[in-house]
Amino acid sequence: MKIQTLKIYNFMPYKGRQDIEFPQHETQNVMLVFGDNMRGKTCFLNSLRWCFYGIALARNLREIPRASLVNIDARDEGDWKVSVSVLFEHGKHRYELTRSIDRRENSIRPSNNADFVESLGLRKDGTPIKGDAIKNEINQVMPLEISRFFLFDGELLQEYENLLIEESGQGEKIKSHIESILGVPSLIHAREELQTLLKKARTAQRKDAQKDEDLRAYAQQLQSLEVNLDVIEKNHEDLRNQRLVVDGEISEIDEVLKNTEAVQKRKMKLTELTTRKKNLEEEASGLNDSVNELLKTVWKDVLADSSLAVLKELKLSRESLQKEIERTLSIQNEITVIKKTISESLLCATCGQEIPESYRASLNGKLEELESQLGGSTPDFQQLTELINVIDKLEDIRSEGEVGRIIESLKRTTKINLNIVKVENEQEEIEQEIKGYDTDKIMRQREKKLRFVKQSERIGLQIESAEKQKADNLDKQGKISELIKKHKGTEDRASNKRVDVLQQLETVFKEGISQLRLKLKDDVQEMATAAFKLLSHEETYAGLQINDNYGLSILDPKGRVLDERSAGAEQVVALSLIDGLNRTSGTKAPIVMDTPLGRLDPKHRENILRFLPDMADQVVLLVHEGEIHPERDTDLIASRIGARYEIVRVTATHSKLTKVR
Amino acid sequence: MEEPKRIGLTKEANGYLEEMLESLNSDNSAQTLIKFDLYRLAVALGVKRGEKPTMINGTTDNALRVAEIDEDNALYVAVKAANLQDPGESVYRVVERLAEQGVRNFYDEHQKHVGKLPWDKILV
Repeated sequence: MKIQTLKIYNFMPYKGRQDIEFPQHETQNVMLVFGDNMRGKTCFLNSLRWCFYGIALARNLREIPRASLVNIDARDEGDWKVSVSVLFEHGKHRYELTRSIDRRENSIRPSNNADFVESLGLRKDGTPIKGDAIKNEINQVMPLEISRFFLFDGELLQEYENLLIEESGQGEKIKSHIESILGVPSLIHAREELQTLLKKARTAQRKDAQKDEDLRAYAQQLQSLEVNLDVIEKNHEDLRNQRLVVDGEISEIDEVLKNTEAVQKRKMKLTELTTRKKNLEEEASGLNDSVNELLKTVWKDVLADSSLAVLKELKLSRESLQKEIERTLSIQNEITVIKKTISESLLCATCGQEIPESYRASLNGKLEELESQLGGSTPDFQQLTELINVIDKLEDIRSEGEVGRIIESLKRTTKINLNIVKVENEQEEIEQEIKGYDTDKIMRQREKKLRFVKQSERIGLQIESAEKQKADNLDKQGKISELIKKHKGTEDRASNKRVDVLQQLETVFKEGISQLRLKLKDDVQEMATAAFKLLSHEETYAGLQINDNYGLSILDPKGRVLDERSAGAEQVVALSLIDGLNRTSGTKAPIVMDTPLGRLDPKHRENILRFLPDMADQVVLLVHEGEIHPERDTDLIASRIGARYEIVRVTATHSKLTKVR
Repeated sequence: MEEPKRIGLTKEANGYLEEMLESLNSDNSAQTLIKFDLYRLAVALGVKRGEKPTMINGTTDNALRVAEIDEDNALYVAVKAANLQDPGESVYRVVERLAEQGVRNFYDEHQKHVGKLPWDKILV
């Protein structure tokens, strides 16, 4: 597919009619659309998505309601019409697809989707296509599920992860669409046709055998196997229909959930925040209790601290008082001994000789001196006891470090309270975002979907079993057919030859499908790996590994799958897959990328810029100047730029696409 | 000097104390503070400041039994050791003055901080 022009009328910020010409040159195939944030880059991508599929997606994957598609200024002027036309070529045909909405006659100020009437028109080589065939025709060109690889929103990368979940219904669906693009279904349909023809041929063979007495027993066995096959096929078909119904239910829920995916995530986040807030509040309450408990005894800590200096002084006083008492007691004791010596005897108590007068005079002198030292003071035991009591009491005031513990608890409480405020702000923000959504209903839908998914899996197993029964039955039929064919005298029967030829053809197609699938996956893996190696600057990666759903995993140097990858790596892998699909299918579609380089480091950005022009016949890059510098970065792809537009602000609600010469 | 058997706060300080206790004891507090707790803390912080407390303007309610508020005499000993009483003044009257002044200081902070007591500022 190659887009020639895009005509927009009143679509979101693009007021009035705007025509955009896409580059048609073989090598100058890149179209750059520069625009600041909030000017309308995503709206440009949405105009294409909406024209093809009637869906415009907001950043949170929510479908934008019709009323919000109408330019605000235009609707204030009473013009509620929105229209987008795409003129494109595909497979040598020329198409003109136009989708438009306008308010219903009885609706003055539309607010719901039902207030609008939508019309969709498609001309193929100038001939209008009937309404119910338009969707099929669009699906032939590019099914919705595949469009995500071409109308690429760098901000919606999580979509690509679905492919990595092999059991996911979404992944299965994308896989079948990828296979459509790669051409697998044509072989599958051919094999089914052959199986029908083979069945008829066996019936004819059986009828011929019935006429022959020697072969009648085989014919009866064949007939019984035919009946059995009919039962198995009927059962198989019923099961497939059952699964279709269940998968249909899943798809319907998916459609609803897809639009509310962001709401579901936010609701889950809200639940998580509520738990977090409760935990924080409990922690804060616990700390408050512990502070209150400490406040009951903190006075002792304060007193103990402030009494330290007093205690020191009191202890010094106690020491000095104790020394004074000891000194007084010692003098008093000496005085007592001298007095006793003088008053009791004139003879020495040791030698019995008379004490000389001179010695007695010296004793009297000493006595006078001691009495003078004493100065009439007596030991103050009461003061000492009181002092000791006070010291003991003050020392009894035990501190448990309450002040420090309170301060620590308060610091922690402040942090917790800050976190609570943050959580509350986030909660409020989320509540505003999901206001108007019945989140409980969404959650019920999720549960319902899970039940359907399990049911679908159970039916899947039953289908597998029916397919095995069918294969066994066909095998038995084949063996009996072979016996009939080899019976002497019947080798040349036309019915035998027909069975033989059809059987061989059916086997060829069966093998062919299996080999094609393997080859396609190998090819996609090989092409995507080649692209990945050019795009990634981590040279040691071994490459990419494809799964059954065409999901790609990165392999490390030892060939192990990397479990986690960054948003930047996700972007590189998604681009590699697009390239792999493009090259393998041969069906080329324009790649329109919104903010494609936003998550990339400079080296990856440079690699991707150099690579992009060769990814498709047309590459449209919707970028802001922070992603690609209009002069410096564009030098890298200067020779490949075929058109350059700028989204110019007219007013806050009106933007204009201007071609830059 | 004979010590009083009961001490208390002025009516005004008592009102402040009750108001502060109400905000400190939230509905879900497992640990509830009582008058005694803030009263003792007010006295201890007064001792820590080491300044003689101002005289009480008015009369106190004598609602608290000394034997209960200071059962191990720790406040008595600490106040006495800090030498904060005027000559001839009983120690527990000084305790009462310290409490009155302390409660009023708490309340000033409580008002400044919109119903919260900034313990980090008060204690450090």
